[in-house]
Amino acid sequence: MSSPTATAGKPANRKLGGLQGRDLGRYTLLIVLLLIVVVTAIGNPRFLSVNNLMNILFQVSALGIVASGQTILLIAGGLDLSVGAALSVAGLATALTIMHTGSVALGILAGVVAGCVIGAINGMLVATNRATPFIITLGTMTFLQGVAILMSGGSPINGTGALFDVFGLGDFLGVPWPVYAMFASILVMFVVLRFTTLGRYAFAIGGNEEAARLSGIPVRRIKIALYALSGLFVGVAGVILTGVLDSGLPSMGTGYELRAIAAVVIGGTPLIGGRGTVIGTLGGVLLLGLVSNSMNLLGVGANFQSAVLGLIITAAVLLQKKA
Amino acid sequence: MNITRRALAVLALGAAVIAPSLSQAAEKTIAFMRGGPDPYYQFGMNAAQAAADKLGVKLITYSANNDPTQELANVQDAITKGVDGILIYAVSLSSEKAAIAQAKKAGVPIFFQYGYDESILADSAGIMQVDLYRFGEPVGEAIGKLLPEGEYATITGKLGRGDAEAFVQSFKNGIAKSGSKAVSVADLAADWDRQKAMDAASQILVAHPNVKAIYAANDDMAVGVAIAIERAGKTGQILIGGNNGAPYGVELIEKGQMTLTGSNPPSIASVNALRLLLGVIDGSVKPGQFYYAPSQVITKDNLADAAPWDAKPEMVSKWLEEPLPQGAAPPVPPTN
Repeated sequence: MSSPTATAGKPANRKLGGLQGRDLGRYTLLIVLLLIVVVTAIGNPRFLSVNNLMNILFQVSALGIVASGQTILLIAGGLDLSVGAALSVAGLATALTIMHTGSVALGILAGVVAGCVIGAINGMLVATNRATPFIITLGTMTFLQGVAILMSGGSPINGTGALFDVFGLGDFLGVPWPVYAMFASILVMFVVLRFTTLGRYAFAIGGNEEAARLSGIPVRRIKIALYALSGLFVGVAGVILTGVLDSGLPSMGTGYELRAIAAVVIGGTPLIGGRGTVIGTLGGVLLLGLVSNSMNLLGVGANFQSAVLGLIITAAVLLQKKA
Repeated sequence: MNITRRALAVLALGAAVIAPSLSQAAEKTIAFMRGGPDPYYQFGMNAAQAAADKLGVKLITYSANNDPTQELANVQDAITKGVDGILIYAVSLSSEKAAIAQAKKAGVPIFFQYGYDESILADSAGIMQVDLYRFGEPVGEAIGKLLPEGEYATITGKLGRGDAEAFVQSFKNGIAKSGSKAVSVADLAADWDRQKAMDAASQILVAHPNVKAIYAANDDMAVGVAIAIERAGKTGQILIGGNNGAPYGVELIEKGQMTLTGSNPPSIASVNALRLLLGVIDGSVKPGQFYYAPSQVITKDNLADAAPWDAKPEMVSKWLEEPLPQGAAPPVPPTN
């Protein structure tokens, strides 16, 4: 039994602690990011050069787009492990279309449509089956990895013409086009989550799916729409990455699924859904990019990098949870 | 008359049924197993298939998707299927040992492409690979001659298996051997991945703006390095040395974006490995020998003479006419 004093004291403490916790939680990621920036800037002044900062944004742009799409899925209690393989398929669809038709516009269309269709199929499978999204999208991931190999014959599809000129080499006001695409994706997802019915339904489904269903939300249709939307983002990322690398590769999306989920979770969206922000996801994406960049600039040996990256990610997540 | 026709028809039918089974009895069946979906394995498989077609050998292909468990399952399935021999790019040393145990038990010869280990050589039909300890050396030597002094950086593959580390060390040995005074300012790992190599090279160019040469331990990563250099507006100012001689690497050399690559074409290697395995099966080749896989440095000057990854059938026919490689002493790690 708790003493009356302790019981009486708890709500006040919890309220105070909750307020502090929320504030701390909101700023934990920012604090970690700033810490990395300061340490790296001291270690290597070139870190803060515009050139390097643009490099970091350029390097995380495709991940940022994929993670934006993954954010709304996680908020809705969903998950898509096939985004990496879907990115490869979308990229190959783009590269192959450009190779066979010579049309960059058709290539872009092919990549975006491929991503969107894959997302919609995932959505249908998840919405109409009792199996968890983890298992269903694990299956589609494996299937799509095979499709990517079949599409490419196991080899890179090189040469994307104007797509490389734009996404690989091009910029506007010194900012590479893929960076604009990433921020546009984040803005779109911000608007969807904050101002649209689809966004509100995503929070409702992630918070309590049964309650959402009972309150009249068409859960199945919304899930299909959410997965299709995420797939659309994956398609866009596939097109951009194909342009950046001037090639479609069967392995180009390898690891994106886990990095995207890591970025979303680091950004404060729990795996069980119900809450989260795409701005937080942007923070998670930047953290992943910054850590890798700063280690290289600080001269951390290649043998240590993976361990250090893992430690920083774990610390960031634990600090947020604690807060 | 009707009876004669019927008898002829029965005879023809019988011949049609028996003939293929007779030819099948003479035809050898080889399982070609690749470690994963990488282009290297794919091109090796394509060339082996072309050679098998010309030699009248049936080739069954398997992929382990970089999964040792799947690889062992593939070996077991192939043995159950009754193949005459197995030609394999193994995923890891442990999976090699498991595979060789299964094959030995079943009496099926198994020939390894890469993955040399002293402990498995005697039980294998043979092992063929380049000298991993010296693979980057000719590239380093050539780059060293072009860069008597200054800064260079290296980008290697996934660490932990030994090959990525050996490539970089051998490249550095080559630089030293050339008499160059150039110094390494960054050694990064990019997991054999084009995009990661592009990111790593971008960071090298920021951290070390005076870098004059970058070594990428495979050509896929060299493509990423070339893109990073192009994005930095430094095309032509930085030497790029690659390894593998992949089609996209050769294309970069043609375009003047890469200086050279140390090629180890999977095409001719797989054709030779298949021939050696068939030799072990028919008893004309002694099992358990080590063979060096063909390798050469490709520059803009000798592009026409380079053995391509994507070998045309007529080229495969030419390789089939050449003498078989001879067994050699396996490579030993350098003392330095």
